Amino acid sequence: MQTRWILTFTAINPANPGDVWQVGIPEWLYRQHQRKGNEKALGRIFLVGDVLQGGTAALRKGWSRPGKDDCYVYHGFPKYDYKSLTIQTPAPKGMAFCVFVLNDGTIDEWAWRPVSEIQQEHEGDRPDGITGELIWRQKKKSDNS
Amino acid sequence: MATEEEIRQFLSDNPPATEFAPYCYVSEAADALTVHFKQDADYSEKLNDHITVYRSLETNEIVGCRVKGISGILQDLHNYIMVRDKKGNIELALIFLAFRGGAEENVARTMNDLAREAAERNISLEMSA
Repeated sequence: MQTRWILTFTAINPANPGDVWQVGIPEWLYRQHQRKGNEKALGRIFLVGDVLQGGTAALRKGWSRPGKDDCYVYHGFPKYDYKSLTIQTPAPKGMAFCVFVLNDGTIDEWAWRPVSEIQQEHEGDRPDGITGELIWRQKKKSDNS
Repeated sequence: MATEEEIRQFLSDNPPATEFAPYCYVSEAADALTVHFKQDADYSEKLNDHITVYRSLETNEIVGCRVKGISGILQDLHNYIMVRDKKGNIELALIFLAFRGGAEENVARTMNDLAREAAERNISLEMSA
């Protein structure tokens, strides 16, 4: 399975959040962005690594559409963004970086998504439109109080 | 596990083409069509269950989109329209028509914007992909 991934990451295992599993970017998807000169998409692979490998704020199951209930969304809050491979900018305010993963661990998309104020306050910083089952989320200080 | 340094090295060894060109592709596993008109730094906005648009962080204009549940549309499309060329490619603008009818006003407006962007850039979906 992993041989078709051109880059592999270690992420929280949805089946056992105390453990990790391997996820990866398929070569065909990387080549699409590469051949068409989409530097922003490639530069943001740094953010994919950040969110999956230590920067996960929450992990949800389901892409909120029929047939994709067994897929996953990881999101986090990197402090920066990439306009290209070399131009780093501050992260957009009020947004989470989402990594969309298929049920076999294949990464299918990565993108910034707004987090509305009400969700920031009440729903664990859930990005807009990400409504799947919460599997894991980073503990907040308020969780312990 | 890819470290930041490994990612940096990988990107250096596999650099992007020097000029950006608009493009689209279908992910069969995700059953989704993704379109990039421009390469502005962007964010995604879920419009409805089928359409997510990518908007420029700077100007908020549409710079791409993701159409979900695309396989059924592609299967049925030839019943309604002519394909574009001998290769069987489909003009991307036509795909948005499938979501135009009966849509709420803001969705219909966005579909028009997406179709216009696709037509202006003459983007086709390669059916052999």
